[in-house]
Amino acid sequence: MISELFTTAVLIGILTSGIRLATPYLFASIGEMFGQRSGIYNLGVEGIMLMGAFAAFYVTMTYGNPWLGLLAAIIVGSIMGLAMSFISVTLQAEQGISGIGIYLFGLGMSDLLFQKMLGTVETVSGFRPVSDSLNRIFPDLLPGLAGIPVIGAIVSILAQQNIMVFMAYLLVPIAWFIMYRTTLGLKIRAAGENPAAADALGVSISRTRYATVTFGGAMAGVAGASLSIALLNVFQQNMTSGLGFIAVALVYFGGWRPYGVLFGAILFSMVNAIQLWIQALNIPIPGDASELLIMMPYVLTIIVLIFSAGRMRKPSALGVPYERGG
Amino acid sequence: MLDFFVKYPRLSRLVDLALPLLATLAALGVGAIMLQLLGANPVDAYGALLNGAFGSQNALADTIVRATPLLLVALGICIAFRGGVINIGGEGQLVAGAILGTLVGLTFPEAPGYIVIPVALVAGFIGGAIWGGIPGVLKAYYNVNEILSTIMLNIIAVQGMNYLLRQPMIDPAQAQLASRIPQTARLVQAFDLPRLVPTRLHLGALIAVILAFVVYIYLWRTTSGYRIRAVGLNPDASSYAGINVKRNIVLALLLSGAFAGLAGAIQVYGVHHRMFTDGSLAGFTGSAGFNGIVVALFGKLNPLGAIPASFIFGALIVGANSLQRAMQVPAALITALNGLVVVFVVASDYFSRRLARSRQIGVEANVEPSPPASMPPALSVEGDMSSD
Amino acid sequence: MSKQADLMEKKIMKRFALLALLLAFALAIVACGGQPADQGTTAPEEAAPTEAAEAPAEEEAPAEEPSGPFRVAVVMPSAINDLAFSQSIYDSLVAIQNQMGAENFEFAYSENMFVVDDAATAIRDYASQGYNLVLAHGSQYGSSLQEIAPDFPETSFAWGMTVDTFGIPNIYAYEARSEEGGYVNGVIAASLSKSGTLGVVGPIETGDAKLYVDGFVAGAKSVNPDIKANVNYIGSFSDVALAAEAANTQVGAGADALTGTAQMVVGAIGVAKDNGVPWFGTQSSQTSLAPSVVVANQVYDWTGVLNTIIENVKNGELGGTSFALTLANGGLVMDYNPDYALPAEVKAAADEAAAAIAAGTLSVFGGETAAPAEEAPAEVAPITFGMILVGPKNDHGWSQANYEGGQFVVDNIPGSNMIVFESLNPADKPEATVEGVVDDMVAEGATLIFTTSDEFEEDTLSVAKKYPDVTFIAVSGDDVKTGEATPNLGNLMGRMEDMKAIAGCAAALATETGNIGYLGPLINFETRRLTAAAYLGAKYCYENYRGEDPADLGFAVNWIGFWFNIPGVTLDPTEVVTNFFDTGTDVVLSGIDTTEAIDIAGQRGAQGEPVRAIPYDFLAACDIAPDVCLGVPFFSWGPSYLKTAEAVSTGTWQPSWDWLPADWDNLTDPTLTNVGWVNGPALTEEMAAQLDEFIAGMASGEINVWTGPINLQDGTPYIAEGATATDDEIWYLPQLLEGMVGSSQ
Repeated sequence: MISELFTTAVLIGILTSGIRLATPYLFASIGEMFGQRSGIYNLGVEGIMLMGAFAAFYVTMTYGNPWLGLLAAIIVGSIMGLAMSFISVTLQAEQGISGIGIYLFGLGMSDLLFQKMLGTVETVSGFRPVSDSLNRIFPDLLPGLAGIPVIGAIVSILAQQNIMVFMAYLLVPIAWFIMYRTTLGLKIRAAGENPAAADALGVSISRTRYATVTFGGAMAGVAGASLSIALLNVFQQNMTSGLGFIAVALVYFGGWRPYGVLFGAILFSMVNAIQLWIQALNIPIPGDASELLIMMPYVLTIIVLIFSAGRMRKPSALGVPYERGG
Repeated sequence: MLDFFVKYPRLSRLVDLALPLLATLAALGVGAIMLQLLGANPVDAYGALLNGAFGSQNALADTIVRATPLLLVALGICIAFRGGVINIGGEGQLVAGAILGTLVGLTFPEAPGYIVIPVALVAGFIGGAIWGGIPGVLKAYYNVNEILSTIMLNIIAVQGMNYLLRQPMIDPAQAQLASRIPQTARLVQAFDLPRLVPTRLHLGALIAVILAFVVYIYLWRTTSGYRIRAVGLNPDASSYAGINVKRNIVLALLLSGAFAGLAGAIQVYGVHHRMFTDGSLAGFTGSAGFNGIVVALFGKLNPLGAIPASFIFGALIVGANSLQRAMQVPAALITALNGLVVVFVVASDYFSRRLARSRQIGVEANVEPSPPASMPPALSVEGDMSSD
Repeated sequence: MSKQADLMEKKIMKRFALLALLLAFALAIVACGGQPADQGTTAPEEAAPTEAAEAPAEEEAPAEEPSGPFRVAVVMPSAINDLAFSQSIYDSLVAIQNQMGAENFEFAYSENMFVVDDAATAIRDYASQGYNLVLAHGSQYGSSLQEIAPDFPETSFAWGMTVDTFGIPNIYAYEARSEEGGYVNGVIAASLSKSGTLGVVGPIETGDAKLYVDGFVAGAKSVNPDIKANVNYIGSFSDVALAAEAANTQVGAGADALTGTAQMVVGAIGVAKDNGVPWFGTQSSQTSLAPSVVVANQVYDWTGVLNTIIENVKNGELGGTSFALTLANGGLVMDYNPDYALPAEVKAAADEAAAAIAAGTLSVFGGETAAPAEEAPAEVAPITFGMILVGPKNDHGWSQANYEGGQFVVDNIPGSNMIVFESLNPADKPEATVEGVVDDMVAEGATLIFTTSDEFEEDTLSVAKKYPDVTFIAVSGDDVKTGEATPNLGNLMGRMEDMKAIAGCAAALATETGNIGYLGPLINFETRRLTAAAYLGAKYCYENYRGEDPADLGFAVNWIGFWFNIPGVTLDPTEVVTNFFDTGTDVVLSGIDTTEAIDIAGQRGAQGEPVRAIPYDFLAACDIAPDVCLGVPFFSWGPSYLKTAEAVSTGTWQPSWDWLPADWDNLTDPTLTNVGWVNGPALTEEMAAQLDEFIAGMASGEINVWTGPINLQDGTPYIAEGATATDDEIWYLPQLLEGMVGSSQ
């Protein structure tokens, strides 16, 4: 029965799942948000994620250190982001198509590298839950906290997650700070709102956009790494399976604001977690249509937006190449 | 270098037209290095590509059959982009059209083909229009960004398709088997789209080409088409001029979806003769909903330009797969190569714009105003040529 | 203006150079990656595609060249290394190529053909290139095949996973009855579960995924009707992350055993591993991903079906029938992870379920059918059947075991009549032929005929064609497995290999000199694998119980040339055994139908020599010389012959290739087990205890003597380190093994 969903254990489970599922979206969406705020939208996130996921997996496997893997994902993601910048900023190409090209290239290339360098699906020991290292350093901490009501439950949810999950959530306030409390953030927003005026004030539009899109690429790479060396510890062809496109959609959902993106990512992931739980608890579905449940997060995202999107305004120059003196 | 073209504007235009082709060749050049590294002789490989795409009557027919849905989707994309909206929901719209079209054929198996086929194609058109109209309404009246809604609607479409095909629409023969393959019954043979020559080339290709001209006339010779373009170029000015911006946004996405939906119905009646699913969108659509966007851009967002563009892209897909078989290289290489071609072609537009500018310098024309959102500046030149 | 433009252009050229550099970097990665793959473990796999690529694609005419290699092309929806559906067919094709040799069999493949339009073009293209057989390995390819196949009437096509051939004469259909292994997995999972909750992760509720999941749930409920088996369909074949989270959810909901199907479950396996929850695989073996938690896999082994189709195509039969992988025909293989300590009673329950499904006494979705024994008196009519023996019916060996199996039928189906023809061999009855004997038996009213020697295999096939209404059982044959069999011909064989391993173990425990002799009959697949099994058992026990270096163990095989002594034709087994004992061998295992080994050992033992022997085939063979008898591996044909006779009598008989396992709980009871072992009086108490431990280990699956590394006699690696031999690898053992002395061919 549906009431089974509302037990403490299940609610904690939904929360834990939701937090985990949102992790790759946060990295990718926040990165993409920077690019869009400066005027460039990149539909190639999915492809960059795949390349990042593979790079992180391969390096972690070879050197046994997930931090090196993460670094590799950042480097590969940045290179892909740089390529996207070159095409969309310098060559002023249509951004949507460039992104699709980047996506297809990443999809194929990551698969090709996977087949040539690994050859078969393998597992890797990536980032472990933080409880592992906490227990090593402070053996009494977690068992001690577990006894306290509420806090104990929260701590146990958090301790099950790995370090990349925390990094993802930490990224949100950092992004907010950069965007609204630094000169850099001002430049980025100016480049996306009124590039000509910003240019006149001495902001280099192309340099700003290069920076944001490259950063977005790096974050997409990290998002991929969060799958391949933290959450799943495995690499497979097309393992992102459309996740990168959802990440782009979440930027629109969040109204180009970090906390909006956070809200979107969590909402989407929680609903997804709920549908998984409904199935796992064997709660009957009308017409035996599991598909109805699977659609839920997608339908709900649209519905929520219908009621909230009125206030949103996209960056005026989003998608418009900037040419000096044009 | 540009000075040279300033002197010879006609040559400049020729180079301009050849640019996408040159860019494709450049991408294939990079692909040659990759092939070499994979241990395949690039000359043999590209020989196999050409042979697979054009080598025989059958190969040519395959290429055109593959180009047909690309062209139809691209026509819709032309309308959407000209109307200032980005439609990446072609995949879902294609499936929606295919489902509605298939339903017609399944419901009236006794009716004569000359009635069912047109009705089914119109049903496909309507199915796509509904699936494209939803993001249109959401954008126009609820400010829901169309990139977001079309991405979400693609996934909703695939899940809906999976449910329909494994439950209510399943082939009665499969329904009795334990494995229950999710596909409909084969449509009666009377409903097969007529073949044009003794190959697999079907009437759908002809329909698509005719519609390219229709869309061209619509966009540049009718008031409705003019309004869509006006809204796309400058919504504020259009609104000021008394054009209903919201209605035209809906119309642009609705028409865009409709052509994708028609592509879906034509795939069913011309190629597969039934609807099936492998659980994903690409299995049935062949990613035509995505590739159609690329084709539209290859054709410079001009419906007539989309005809050769779709042919080239269809040839690339068919030929590359043939290359994969002949050389037994991983299929992933083909996907990566596809991405490179798209990137190179879209990047080549840069030179196209510079050439256009040099032509204008040559004829001492006025400097073009800055182009509208999400549309390459060069495109407005084409538009101006034919606008009234 | 133009100056500025030039400047701009230079800048852009510079950036182009940068981009080119980046591309070069990316390519360098490919290059680096390319090399290890070329030298690495994938080498044999790489061989296949290059073979195919080198084959002139265009020049070769579609017309069949009987002398050329058989060419197969396969089109599949995901990658050849997906650890699931596509890998299962790829691995099977590689195995067939290894069996037939690259010069006789080549194949090409197109992987990742998830776009059906691409797949259709590929199928058509392969057909027009003259491939003999084109496999459309994906249920979504059906509509394309239906359009393409009629255009290539000379080419054979096969459509995977269905039974529907569209009524087109050159389309085969094949499917995997994945619910069977699903049921077995479900039985194990429910037995291991303490929480009473199991979790399942599936893609879309259709096809073999649905069958597997439904079978798993049914199997679990058969153990514990109250068990909760919760299913998550995630709506995708590729979403690894969602599959993983579904598994997390299942664990959160209390599941303490997980399973899942399709290629995206690699994510879920990781979750099982992190939580230490047992995992059950299907389609391909997934043990490599999580050796600590994978308990068992249902592996699709397409070699049998493909061999059958290939044989048919060679004989000009291009399609029209459908095949199913089942546990009964060996197409579904239960692959247990040797590193997982599965309790013996659970393994036994799983084996029982698998055997019952294979035997047809258990229907996965219909529950247990009434036990045949109870049904027998009610429905089974008396039957007249023939029994053709190669030796005399009282040889205390092979022929007697078969004869008594027939007698068991007569005892259990009152009023039945057995027509026996003994000693059908060129030495005893040179004028008699299988065909002549069968003619007589059919004339006397036999509706079922057992031909009980591999010597009769070919003749049986030809008379089976002559008498389509009579059911033939070619004992120890493989006609059904290879697909040569007519619909009225079945194969039976006991899994004697396991018993031979026990015999080998007993010999190793008893030998003082460290030299074991094996009295072999003639050389064929059957005798090679039996001898090898004895050797592997001996080696295992010599190392693990005796604590000796297995390399010091002497194991010599001497083939006499036939199943029993034919003076002047074969070697004299008496001389061979005597020679063994004279040259330092103190234990002789018999592989022949008659009793010379135990006879001679008895005589020499009576004179005080410390020699031992292990006879063969017949339960009571130790009685000849109890003091020197270490035990006897025996055949008990009664249960399987009775089942066959009942099925023929009631009209429910279906052809199958049955390799009947032992009933490990009743190893000494010939009315229950198909093959067995009884300890002989010459075993000391200590040896008997060690032997019991070995037998228990084999019964639970903890000990598998066919675990690699195993090399063939010429040193060729056969079973890789850590891998275990498949049924096919055992059945078709090409040589003796490294460490054995004696000829292989």
